[in-house]
Amino acid sequence: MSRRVAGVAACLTVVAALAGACSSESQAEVRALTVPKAGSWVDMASDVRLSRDAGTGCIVDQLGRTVVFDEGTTVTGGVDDWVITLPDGTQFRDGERYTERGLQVSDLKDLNRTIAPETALEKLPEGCGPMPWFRVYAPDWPTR
Amino acid sequence: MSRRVFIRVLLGSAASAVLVLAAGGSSLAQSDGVEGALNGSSQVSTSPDADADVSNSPEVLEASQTPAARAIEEAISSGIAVEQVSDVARVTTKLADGTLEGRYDGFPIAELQDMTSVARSGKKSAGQVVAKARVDKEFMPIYRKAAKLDGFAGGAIRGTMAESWIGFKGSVPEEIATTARAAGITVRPGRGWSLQEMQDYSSKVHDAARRVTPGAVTTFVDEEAMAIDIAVPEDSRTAAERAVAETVGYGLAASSEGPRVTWNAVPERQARPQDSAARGGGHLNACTVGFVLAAQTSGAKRLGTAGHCTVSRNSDTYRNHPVDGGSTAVNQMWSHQGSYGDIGYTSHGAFNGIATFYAAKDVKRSIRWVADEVADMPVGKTLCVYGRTSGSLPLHPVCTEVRARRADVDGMGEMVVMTEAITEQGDSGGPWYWSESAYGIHYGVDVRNGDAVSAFTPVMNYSQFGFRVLTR
Repeated sequence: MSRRVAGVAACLTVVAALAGACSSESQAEVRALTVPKAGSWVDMASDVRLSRDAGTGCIVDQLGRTVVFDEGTTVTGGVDDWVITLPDGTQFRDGERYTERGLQVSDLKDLNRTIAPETALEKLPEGCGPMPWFRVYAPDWPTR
Repeated sequence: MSRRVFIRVLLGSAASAVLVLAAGGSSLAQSDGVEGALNGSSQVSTSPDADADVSNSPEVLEASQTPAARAIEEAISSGIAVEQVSDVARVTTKLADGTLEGRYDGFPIAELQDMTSVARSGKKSAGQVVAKARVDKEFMPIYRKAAKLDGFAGGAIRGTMAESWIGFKGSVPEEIATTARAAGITVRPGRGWSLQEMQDYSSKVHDAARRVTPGAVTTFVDEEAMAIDIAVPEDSRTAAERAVAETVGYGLAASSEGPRVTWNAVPERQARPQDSAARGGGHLNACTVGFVLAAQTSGAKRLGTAGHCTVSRNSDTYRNHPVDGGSTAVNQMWSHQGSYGDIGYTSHGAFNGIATFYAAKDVKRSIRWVADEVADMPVGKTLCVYGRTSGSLPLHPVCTEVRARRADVDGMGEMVVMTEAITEQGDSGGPWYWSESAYGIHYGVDVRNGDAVSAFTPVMNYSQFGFRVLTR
């Protein structure tokens, strides 16, 4: 059983990594789509329940939206016992809720608002299904 | 979190505007033109928290003996709301809609509540808070008048009149000099640049930097230091420096990075269905309502919130606080994320929008006044915020001070940034207020110079799109 994290530093790397991995192998994978971190955060709350999409292997929410994580997020375990570990160390398992900062993104412009500009994507990553996606932040900066 | 460098560009004289300094704790490194820029401003302080230690000033000592200060202290020491202090309770009337009316020691009950919130945070004593509220009442009319005059070069409201100041590019107009000095406000002539000129330069710096770092550039004018502060991604610093230098002839330098922390979510309590009025500070699914809006021509009502809260155009649910209960389905109707900040609105569903807002959990207030110009929010002005998440945290700070106005935050303009971050996830769209006055719609958190600061969009920006905050 393969375990994969699509951590990226540049768009093309992401796209290539996901596109190449999103074939028949994905049936046995657990994958978290990750993008570079943001420069400021909106204070919008999330309420997404995480699960694995059987078709793509990607982590999705209860609405079937691909969940997009900060780079540094990792996946361990298998399709039945996966664990997502955010950069701040917070862990989530199948069916658990993420309720911190996040928002729906509907196109590349939306997604790039949530990414530091020097690492902004030139093209949407492929392989985890169409937009809209749900971008979650794992704030690791003090706000007080 | 990407690293961002925080850069300060000091304005020299108009003829020799070249100065580079490193922020992030280093001392100011000045070059030619600085003395010219600050000519006549020997009282300049570069500390945004200049009123941090005024506990022994005569004004504060006197204020600490007032009934208002004593009521605030009693509320804090007893762990009760200030309106429950017996002397205050005697002059407080609860209206049918749940809002409180009355004045105590010259302050509306709403303002007394806000002052208590500030003092409860522990950063200021009751005497300091009352002293500043008194300063506010005298300072603001003079400041507003000054802000409309040619050559106005900024100002700040601090804990005492002497620390509060108003500046002018050249000489101070006599009408301002006379009233300011009579009130004990410091005047600073010969600042070298007007605020408008500084804003124009700031816009040029921002635009130049954004050409090479689209999206995440934050700029604002530091009125105290006569500087333009700009935060750019670290990796873009060289390119930004070059672009800014080519455009406005400045060089830039600086670097800093802040520590990291994790946040925990706080679940929202469920409201009981009772009420059918929609108010500012009500809850949306993932955000908070700021204020009830009315169309300037038709009077049609909307629920104002952050633009990023309504951008998906989904249906949403508005919920009152538990004291009122009730919820209604609303539609995300409109959003703007750009030149006028980050604002949006929803429909009001089956509820009727009224001119009140929740200033805290279950605490309702009337809206009687709206900040409709930048001059209503001087540097140092204390403002409070309600958000559905931070508002549910016991003893969470809800008030902080204005750091800068007309800031550009990641491509969104005309924002106000505060001196600290006091907001949480779910607070987006919530009301920034003082007493019974509406100031802003909460945006989120920007990271500057290793610090994180809350930021909001002034409610007056709705007027660009034909709406205003509904008032009583």
